[in-house]
Amino acid sequence: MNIRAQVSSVFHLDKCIGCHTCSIACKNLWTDRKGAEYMWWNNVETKPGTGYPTQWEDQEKYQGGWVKQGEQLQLRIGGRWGTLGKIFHNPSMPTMDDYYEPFTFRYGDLTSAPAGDDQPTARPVSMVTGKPMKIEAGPNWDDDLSGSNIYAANDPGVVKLSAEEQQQLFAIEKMVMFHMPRICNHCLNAGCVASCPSGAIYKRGEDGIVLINQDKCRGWRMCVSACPYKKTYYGWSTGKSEKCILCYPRQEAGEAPACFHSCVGRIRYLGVLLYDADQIESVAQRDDKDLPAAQREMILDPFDPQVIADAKKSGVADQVIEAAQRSPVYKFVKEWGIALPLHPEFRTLPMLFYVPPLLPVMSMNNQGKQKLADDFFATLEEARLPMQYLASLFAGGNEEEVKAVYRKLIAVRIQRRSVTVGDLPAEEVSKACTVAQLDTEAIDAIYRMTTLTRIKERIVVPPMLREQAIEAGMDPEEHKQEMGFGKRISPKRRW
Amino acid sequence: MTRQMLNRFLLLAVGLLLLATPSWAQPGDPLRGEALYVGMASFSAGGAPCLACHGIAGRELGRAAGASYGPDLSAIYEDYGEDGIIDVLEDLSFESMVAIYENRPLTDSEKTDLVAFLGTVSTGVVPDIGSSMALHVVVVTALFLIVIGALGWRRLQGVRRPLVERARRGKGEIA
Repeated sequence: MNIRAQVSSVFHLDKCIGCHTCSIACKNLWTDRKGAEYMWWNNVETKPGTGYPTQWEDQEKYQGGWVKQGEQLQLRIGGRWGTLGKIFHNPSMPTMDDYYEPFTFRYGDLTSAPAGDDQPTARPVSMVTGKPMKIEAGPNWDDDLSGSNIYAANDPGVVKLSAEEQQQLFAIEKMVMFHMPRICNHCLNAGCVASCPSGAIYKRGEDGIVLINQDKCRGWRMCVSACPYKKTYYGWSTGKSEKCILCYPRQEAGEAPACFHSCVGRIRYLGVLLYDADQIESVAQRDDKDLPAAQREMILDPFDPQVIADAKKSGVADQVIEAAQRSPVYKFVKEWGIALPLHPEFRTLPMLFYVPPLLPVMSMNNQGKQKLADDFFATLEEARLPMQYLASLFAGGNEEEVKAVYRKLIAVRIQRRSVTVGDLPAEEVSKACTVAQLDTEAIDAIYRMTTLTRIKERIVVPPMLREQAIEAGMDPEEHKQEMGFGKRISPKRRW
Repeated sequence: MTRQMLNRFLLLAVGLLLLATPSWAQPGDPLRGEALYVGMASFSAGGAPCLACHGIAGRELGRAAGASYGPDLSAIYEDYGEDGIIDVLEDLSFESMVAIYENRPLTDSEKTDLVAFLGTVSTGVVPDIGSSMALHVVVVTALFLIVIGALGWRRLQGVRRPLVERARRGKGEIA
């Protein structure tokens, strides 16, 4: 047993209203500077849709994540020699157009243009070249466009569906969509870390946050390909790659990450999970359909005395174990089992989990008129969004995983309806609980966590214990005297 | 005056005497001249060997290395004569040579050796060189650029734009 702590999150998609406040909070804090304009460490996608960058889920093109090679796992872009062979020639990357060319407007022209016959206009200019440009795309160009015949129709998940299912999905009166916010998943088996030829990317031992050392990065951009979620970005101004840092400076000060803090729908939950690092390799090799369950198995019960003893032996601090016991993520993922990883079949073991959205699933027949448990569960069969689509997003194609989550979400609804409206017979409610395999206590807890909790319950930032992390490398007292506010070694440039 | 100091004085005197000997008193050594010309032996003051800039086509010197900064010296002996060459080396009448040899003057014996060597190579005609070589260089460079270009040709293919183009062609509408 090699027990480690991982700061993980849950995004509750039913609560996301697609307001992009998270993206803006992140942009203002971290990427509002030259060379980083196009980067959205946090972005909100409309699904079905191609996402940002375009069709990022299509690993035939981008070569992200891992593949099984017999008994071994190998990066899809190739092993050590394969990566070296591509070091000057790596075509598996998004172009600037696939992200979007960042733009601004010449607002100054509105007030300073010379007198003329026309109204002065603010022309769009590229933030890369500074020249006037035609705006053709943006990071959320297909925002709320559920039926777009370019973006929605080319969602890699939709393309996989049968022609009939696709037709059904885009029939006007059945059109459906949901929002999916994405940040770095801070994976346990991160592809970016494994692919970096400079060894610049690392996973922090104490909290599992994946970071790029800006002093060591040489801008080879292998991580851009190898991350199947396309969450490392190349900064064209610094010549280095950057990614979401899960606001570790904020977390070290006890604050929630900016996107979590600013979330209007309160969809974001954060907490520590304890897991067994010895299992990473074997779990990542399981079959696609077993991956969500295997990943759940890896996560350990922070209340189990044996786990606590083992964790202490592995060097996890008492305060962190205590934080893991309060972790809402543990409840969502393991206790209730209603949060699933995004695309587990990429085999990076992502540690950001999603509660799949219920609303786009509810069948048309049920709208307006509430039916009883039987009919409610039947909605899964005639769901507006095919189960296969959701399973390909959250469960490596395993429909049963997704259905189990929906049964629970529906049971919560039925239970709450019987409490607040009181028009359902008691046996219907208990039947729903049985089908969903949840007791009323758990249902109440899910309801409470989903709707009533305050920020300190939703976001349990663990003590970051920087002194102990520093202690591993040098004397903390020396560090305090010598490091000051840290250092920056600017890159050597010939110009 | 100690014996040691006397020895040093004698040595200096002999050295000065040798240096003062007029150049014409010694005939040049063409073999040493060639060595100096191509750089096998170095000039005592450290100047660059002549071959760095001047080829001699008659001897097939300077072809591969592309010694073409200065004119070919195959016929210099006919053109300038012995004294002319020595004068050029003495006065540095060509501007581009000033920077190279001003602070690194050639000794008299080096000059005569070079003259002797240039006298042996003199054929009076400058044979035509380089046209086939130049052709080779152009062809090889072009091939190299084509191969590199082919490797990089449409290396990064976009994803979004083709989707838009396809939809535009297919249905004549865009979203």
